[in-house]
Amino acid sequence: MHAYQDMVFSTAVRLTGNDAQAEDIAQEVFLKAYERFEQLRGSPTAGGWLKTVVTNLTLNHLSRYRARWRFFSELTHDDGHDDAAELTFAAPDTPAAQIDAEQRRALLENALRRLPEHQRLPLVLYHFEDMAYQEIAQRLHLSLAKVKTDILRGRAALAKLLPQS
Amino acid sequence: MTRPQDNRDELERRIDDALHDLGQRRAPGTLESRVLAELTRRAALPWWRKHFAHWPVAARAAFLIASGGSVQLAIVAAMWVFARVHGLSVSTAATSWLRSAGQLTSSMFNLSVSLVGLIPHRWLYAGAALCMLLYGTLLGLGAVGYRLLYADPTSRGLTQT
Repeated sequence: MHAYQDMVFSTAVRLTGNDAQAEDIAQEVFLKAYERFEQLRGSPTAGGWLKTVVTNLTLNHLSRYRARWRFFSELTHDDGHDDAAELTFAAPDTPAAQIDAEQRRALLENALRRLPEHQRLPLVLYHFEDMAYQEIAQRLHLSLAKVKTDILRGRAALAKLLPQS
Repeated sequence: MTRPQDNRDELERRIDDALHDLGQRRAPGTLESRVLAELTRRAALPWWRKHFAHWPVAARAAFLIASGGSVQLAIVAAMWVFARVHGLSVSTAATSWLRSAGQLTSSMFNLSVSLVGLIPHRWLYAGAALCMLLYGTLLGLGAVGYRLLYADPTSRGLTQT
């Protein structure tokens, strides 16, 4: 458990954006793992199994508790234009180039957590879980175009925290 | 001059690098103790409150035999009740009652069709349009009310601080 608890918690917390929910999900994952302890002990695929289970449990959790409000909470204009400019974050007091790497990581983690769910979910699945756009669209029951647009907007919002290249 | 696609690819690469640079979040110190406490709680449960797969073999076999016996008993009882009811000729009364109900339903349907036929088509279309308008208004008011009263502001975008 020690070897995988950070990975399991990280996956859950980045998908949910909520520490308490992520801890509940991580607990459920390890309870499931305990039921298969004999199969997983010493298995080289244990990490992959845990990753798959935590991703599935988190997505199921999110769809179960939020599907009923999705219609109302996402009644935003989706006319294709890039609204990333509307998203602003708590800016550091110092210019982006001057903050240290640790501070930047904390800001980025916080910004990721505060992204709207419809942007954070596909963005995390793409960049952390290495899922393809098509796979994300199928998993979230969304159109391919919406997935691409949401990921692009999420990236644009996060890009404000990166140093200018 | 760079193309928009090149900019998007560059943005994707930079975000990918930055996100992978984040590393893993440290799990809360309470996670392990929570898992162990839950395992202890589950282990302390009596066998009949655990999942069926964890029941003793003898208990599982007894349960399956008892279930099969119950199903067989229910079938025999239903057949016995049916035979008794049939013997008392209640089935004839039930059939006539069903026939009456069918005739009544058919009459009501014919009456409804006749009444609708008497109403001018324009009125019907206007009524349908009004219903749709009211439905849309109600839905819109519900959505606005939800967004104003309950929706988390952070789910609609990030506010500047």
